[in-house]
Amino acid sequence: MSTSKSAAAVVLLLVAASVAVLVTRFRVTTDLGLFLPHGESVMERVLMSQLDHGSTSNLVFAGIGGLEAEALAELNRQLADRLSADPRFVQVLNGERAMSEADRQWVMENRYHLTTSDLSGKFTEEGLRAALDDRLRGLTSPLGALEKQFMTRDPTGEIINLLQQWQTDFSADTGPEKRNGVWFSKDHSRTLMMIELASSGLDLGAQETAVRQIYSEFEALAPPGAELVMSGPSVFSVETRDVITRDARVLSVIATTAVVLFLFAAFRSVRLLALVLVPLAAGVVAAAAAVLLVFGEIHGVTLAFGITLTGVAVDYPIHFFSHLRGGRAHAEESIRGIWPTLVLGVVSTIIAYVVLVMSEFVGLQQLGLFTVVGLLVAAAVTRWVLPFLVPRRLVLGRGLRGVHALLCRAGALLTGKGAWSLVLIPLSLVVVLLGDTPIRNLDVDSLSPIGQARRDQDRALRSDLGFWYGGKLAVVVAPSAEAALQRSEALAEELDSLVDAGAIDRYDMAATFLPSQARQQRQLAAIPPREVLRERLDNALADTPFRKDVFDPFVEEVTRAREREPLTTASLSDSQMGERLKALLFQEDGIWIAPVLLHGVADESSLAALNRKHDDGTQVLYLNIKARATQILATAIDHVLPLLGFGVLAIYLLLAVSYRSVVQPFRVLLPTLSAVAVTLGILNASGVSLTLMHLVSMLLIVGLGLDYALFYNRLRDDADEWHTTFKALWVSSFTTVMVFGILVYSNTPPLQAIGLTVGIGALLSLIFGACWTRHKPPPLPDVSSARGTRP
Amino acid sequence: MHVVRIGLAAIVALVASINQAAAAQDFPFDDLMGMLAEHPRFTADFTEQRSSFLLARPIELEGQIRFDAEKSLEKVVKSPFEERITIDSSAVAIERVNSEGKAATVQRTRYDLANYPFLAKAVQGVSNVFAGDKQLLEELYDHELSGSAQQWELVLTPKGEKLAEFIESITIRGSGGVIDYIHSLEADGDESKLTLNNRTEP
Repeated sequence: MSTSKSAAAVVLLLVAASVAVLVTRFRVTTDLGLFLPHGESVMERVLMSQLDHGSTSNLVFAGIGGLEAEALAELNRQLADRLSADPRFVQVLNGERAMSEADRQWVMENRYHLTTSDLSGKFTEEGLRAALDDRLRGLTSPLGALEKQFMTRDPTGEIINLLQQWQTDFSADTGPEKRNGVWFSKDHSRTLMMIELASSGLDLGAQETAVRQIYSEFEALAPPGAELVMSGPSVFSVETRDVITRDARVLSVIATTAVVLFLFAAFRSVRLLALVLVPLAAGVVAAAAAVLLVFGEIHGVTLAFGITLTGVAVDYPIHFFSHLRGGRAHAEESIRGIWPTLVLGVVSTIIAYVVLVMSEFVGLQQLGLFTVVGLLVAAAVTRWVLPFLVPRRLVLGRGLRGVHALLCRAGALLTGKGAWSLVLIPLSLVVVLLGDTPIRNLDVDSLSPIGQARRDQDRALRSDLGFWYGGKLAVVVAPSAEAALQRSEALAEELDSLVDAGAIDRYDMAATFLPSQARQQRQLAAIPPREVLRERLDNALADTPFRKDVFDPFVEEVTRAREREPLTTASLSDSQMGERLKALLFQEDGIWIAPVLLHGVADESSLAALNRKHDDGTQVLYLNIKARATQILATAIDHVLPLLGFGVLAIYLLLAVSYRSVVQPFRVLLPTLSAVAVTLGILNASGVSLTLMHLVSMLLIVGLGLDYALFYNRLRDDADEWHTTFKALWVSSFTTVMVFGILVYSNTPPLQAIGLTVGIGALLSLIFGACWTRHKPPPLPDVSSARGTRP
Repeated sequence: MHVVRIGLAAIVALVASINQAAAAQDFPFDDLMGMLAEHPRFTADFTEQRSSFLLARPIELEGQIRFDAEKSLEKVVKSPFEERITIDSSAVAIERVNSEGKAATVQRTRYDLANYPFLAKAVQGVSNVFAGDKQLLEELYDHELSGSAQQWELVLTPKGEKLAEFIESITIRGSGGVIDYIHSLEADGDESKLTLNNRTEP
């Protein structure tokens, strides 16, 4: 007993330590990216994380509809005013205000460095004459007021071009259409706004407050009928977190309640219920602590998934109590009696989850680790702690006798039909192979709780705003920022011809906003010295009605620009625009990466042709993110499949060793494998294509089914024993089916997939297990002799 | 004497104001708008003298104006350069003919007026006068009409600050429903004096 006591002490200490870890380190994430495969190369990983969490991740795209255009524009302006005054928002763009005054001044100041038009030829006498002719025409046109704004500083018209380009925020187009002074969607039904949050994409709490603030400001301003639609990475992250948190809270309450009620109905003992919850609680606490220690944080999905532990971990105390002869005095003896079977069950279940730990998805690793630790601790508590807690006399009531009797009759029908059930394996495979439903589902989006309709809204808003909606880009990789910009400029020429050929609509790249130093130097070289410029300008002015001194500011500013050094990323770093430019040009691990965002890609093959390694150490890569993610996902599944095979093999070996037989394990494995095959068939026939989550769930079925099969194997002729074991069996498998079944109502696709698959599989395991038993159910012992610890 | 003089002055002033009131009643703003609206389409030659603080001497433009209240106001400049400007409800389109060298090239630019809401109102002001669009004019300008139906002068001054950033005043002269002179004074002192003649209506 003393070794048992010290074992109990160790287990309790472990649980206490876990509580301490939970209290001090608890940190939840809801980033579903953990369930997505990561890129293979460093560059891909960097790029994906930049696109997910980088400087565009704090953008909110908003559309307001439901009113007349004029009212919408007014509402847009009011909302923009309110939000601009709030420090939680860095800037609010709606067409009316597109650029901060400081940035505007900066762009004007540096126009000869930044301009995209070719300056060579603009400062010759002919060039100046043409420019003056243009200005004179402009002055007399109805838009003369616009011309006059910058005419004396900028007769060659660089400012207007640049402002048009920069104001539409990193999109080289002229930006969204304006009505009543603010941006409108292409179909004019919605007015548009782009809001930059002050908080980083990683601070979900702050983002949530900011997003809610937008909604509440809107509510306060909006007349009835007005509708606000928002999208963007932060909005979606917040929505995802809401869904996952709700799942974790609501489903765990429902599952716990359902299990408690069911167990009470089955055993009619409050004391037993309390005892059953002890290993479960200890398991959950230790599991969460382990995940926190290893990963530094715990995913919301892992927590929600934790409820399935409820369904599995209660099995151990149930088996224990069902086999308990008498009270505490016999506890140690009883637990020793079933311990080998229990250990076998625990280990085979755990093997399945170990496979998850070995997968390349952090999310799955967490689920796996959580469950492995949870089950081990629950089993350990059952073995070493529970015997001390058992009261002197534990009376298990005989609830659900009708169900028990019914199941016994069903069991009688199934007994010995194992060979028949084998037919179902090839039958299921035929269904899967001949059916119309594709076997694998490689759609990365199917993982997200953000539905297709919301994603379509996001796409529409981005497209109306002229903002890249992800998917296709070329990436320039270079040893320096300058090399990246120079390569981008060379690439721009190729892309321009692709635009002309209709292969793409347009593109956004850093070099459009910050030309390479080489290009800036070439441009500045086109500017003549002050006296030469003055002379050429005077000659050009001679035949015009312009006053001779009108363009003095121009001569001043050009001369000043000529003497200034070329701009670099550092010169931009203080401005809001510089902040934005970081998304298009950034450094990571010593290499410079410049994504070139492609809009309206019509011909992918011509873009793939851009892929090249250049002699100057730069490289251009065309990437279709979705296609690439699908490809990576397919590879990941291909990696998981052999793991599944190894898992089954490991379980077989475990059984073979413990039974000391080569054949015996099949008695246990066959019902389980039938359950897996039939589950596969049912899912496929009902139109579900298998995601990675479904595949992994198959392994969970194996683990659980094995647990049942092991206890089925313990069914003996002795009527008492038979009925206790059988009841423990169906009760524990019902709890499993229940909790996994509840997961089906989750709004988080990974949980839903696991719930559906394992729910069906667990039920089938119970049925097929019965088919393989050799002993028909003996008649139920009569009531008087069954009173006491028997069911 | 003194009293008499004041009395006389008062009488003169009174008579003048009665006269003015009578004149205003003789030819009210609404009537002018009605008469203008009766001529929704016309073509006329124009000469325009533009002066600007940017120019040493005024520049003279010649060409033709084509107005259709249903569609657009078209200003075809023939000298000193060739250009066609079309103003409709949503945009200003400018076609520039560059006749240097042998082959003339045409460059088209379209400015969406929705992008410049207040400038748009200034730009469309003249069209609104041509069309006799009473409601729009009253919304944007204070108006002062003098003279008779045969010989009138209408002075428009912007009501709102935003419009006043562009326009100081617009003075229009005409007889009946026919406009023959428009003088625009811009906020920065620039001026356009437009004279219309050889008017034809379909």
